[in-house]
Amino acid sequence: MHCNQPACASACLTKAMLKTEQGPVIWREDKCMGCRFCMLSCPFDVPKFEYDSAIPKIQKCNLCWDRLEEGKSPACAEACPAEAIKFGKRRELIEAGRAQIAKDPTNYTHHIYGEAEAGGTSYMYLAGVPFGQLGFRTDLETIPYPELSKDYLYAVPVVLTLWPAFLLALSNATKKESDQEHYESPDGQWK
Amino acid sequence: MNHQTDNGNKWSLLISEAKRFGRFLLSEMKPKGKVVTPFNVFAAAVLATAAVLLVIRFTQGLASTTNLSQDFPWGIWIGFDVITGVAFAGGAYVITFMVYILRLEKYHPIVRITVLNGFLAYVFYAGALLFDLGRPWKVINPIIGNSFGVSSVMFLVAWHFMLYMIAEFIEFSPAIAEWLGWKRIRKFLGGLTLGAVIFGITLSTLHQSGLGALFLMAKSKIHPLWYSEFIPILFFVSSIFAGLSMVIVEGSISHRVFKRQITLQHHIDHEDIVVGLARICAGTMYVYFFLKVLVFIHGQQWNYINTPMGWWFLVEVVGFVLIPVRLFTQAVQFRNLSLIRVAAVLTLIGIVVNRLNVSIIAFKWYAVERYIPSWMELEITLGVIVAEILVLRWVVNRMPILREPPDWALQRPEAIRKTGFVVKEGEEKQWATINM
Repeated sequence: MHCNQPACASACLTKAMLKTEQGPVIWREDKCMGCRFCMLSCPFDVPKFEYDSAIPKIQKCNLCWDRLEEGKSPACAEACPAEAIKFGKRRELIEAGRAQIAKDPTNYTHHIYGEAEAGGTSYMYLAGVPFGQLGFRTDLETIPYPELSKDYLYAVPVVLTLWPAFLLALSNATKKESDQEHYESPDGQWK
Repeated sequence: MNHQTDNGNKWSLLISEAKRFGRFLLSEMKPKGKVVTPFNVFAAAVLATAAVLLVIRFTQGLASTTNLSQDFPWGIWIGFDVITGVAFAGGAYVITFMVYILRLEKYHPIVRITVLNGFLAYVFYAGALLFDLGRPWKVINPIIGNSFGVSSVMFLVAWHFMLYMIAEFIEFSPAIAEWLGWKRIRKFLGGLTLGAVIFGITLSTLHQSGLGALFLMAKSKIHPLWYSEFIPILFFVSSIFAGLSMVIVEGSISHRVFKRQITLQHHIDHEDIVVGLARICAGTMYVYFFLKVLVFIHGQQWNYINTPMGWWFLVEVVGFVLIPVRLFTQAVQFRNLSLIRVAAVLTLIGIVVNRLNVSIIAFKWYAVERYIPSWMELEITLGVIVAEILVLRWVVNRMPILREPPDWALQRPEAIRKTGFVVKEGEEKQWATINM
């Protein structure tokens, strides 16, 4: 779906899953260690794993990233004779989608799937029936999914710096006299 | 001339020392006690089967041995081995906190065995992660190079696992030095303990909660009764009593198995220690239960209760939190050790249920095709547990874990006072000089 803020890319600990500047979310073979956290995190269940291979890869659409680099449009959009798949700027596509729905309101579901889902995606759908009937998840959050673990991650440096200081202070506070560096009391006896 | 012979002497001394050390290591490698015992035969069979299965797994891919699918990318190798195993290993950071930070000396006798258990649990259960990784030869990527995915909770967990293993190894290392008779190194390593403990507790706080935070982005996939933004806090709090329950259960087993190694004083203190641990378990479990109820009410989840998943939720929260905490409370009142053990076992089952619920059972509860682990996944998990027990037994039989450390290691006067109740024959003189 090439989310604007992809859960899979923020889940990836090796940056194998990467949101490129042009929009596509791509998978890089040389980085991935195969933990499948991207699959767990993706609200759309897009990344697929090659369970049958000893040298498995993650499979997903890369929005013909290499073709975009050359200035061409993705192969699916170029090949489709009915222009059912369109390629362009996201903002323009949303406007075109709205116009399409307005032009034929009885035949289109009044929703662009991907405009708001998961904080917005680069791949968006129009449909003639409710999206739930087509197997789309219609109960997704409209915030970007990385937001869900952001609070936790922000707490990490706080704990990492304050916790040791606190523990050290506590450890000093509980020190008994006999644990102090001087083991001998003035009269020369062990305490 | 003189100088040269001096050097020659040093060299021959070094060589003879190295030889002596080599012979010592070789002799320690040999098994102590009978080799053919029912447990050893069972362990050999399990490990051999696991080895064959692992060859298949690494040559044919994950589908050959696991029931993982595109819908269920994580099975019991993550849900049980890593996520439950690490919670069970939480005892190490809790006990080191009690002994080195709060200085509750009562618990000192169980520090080493707990830290050893924790360290081995991390090595084996987090190590089992390598079986689950699709591309394990890339496992070094998040540690080196320019591939730091710092926005990933997994990145945090991976780093913390690695650093915590080092911290636990440092905490444990004095026992190795005592075993090898390295006096100076023992002194140096002993000086690192407090630092390693503080570092270790900090790391544990973060990765125990981090294991829960892994599931934060799976909001639309986990049943609302188990998903909440408080998963990290719930995981952290439950790791405290999970770890301590494990210490109680493991302690009662090792008290039987390694009976002869345990000092008289420790035998006498044992009851006090177990009751103390049970009291802390009860306290943290009440906090945990309160948090669970708070999350439940805050999330307005009453309407889920009268569904199959709701009943299952009640089994977990009432059957494996409320009942064991009640048992702990009662057992502490009457100092009933066997009831404490029952409560601890129930608590551990509850932790397994909870972690598997979050990672597998309540995960995609709506899916038509559920994930059920294959016998091969279970076998390899069993193999990991058996391997850990074998290494644990090897170490305990050789190093001063439950036994008293050698006399030379007991330098601090308070330690001498504690263990010096009985003066052995021929040691009166030494004892007198130390006491001066």
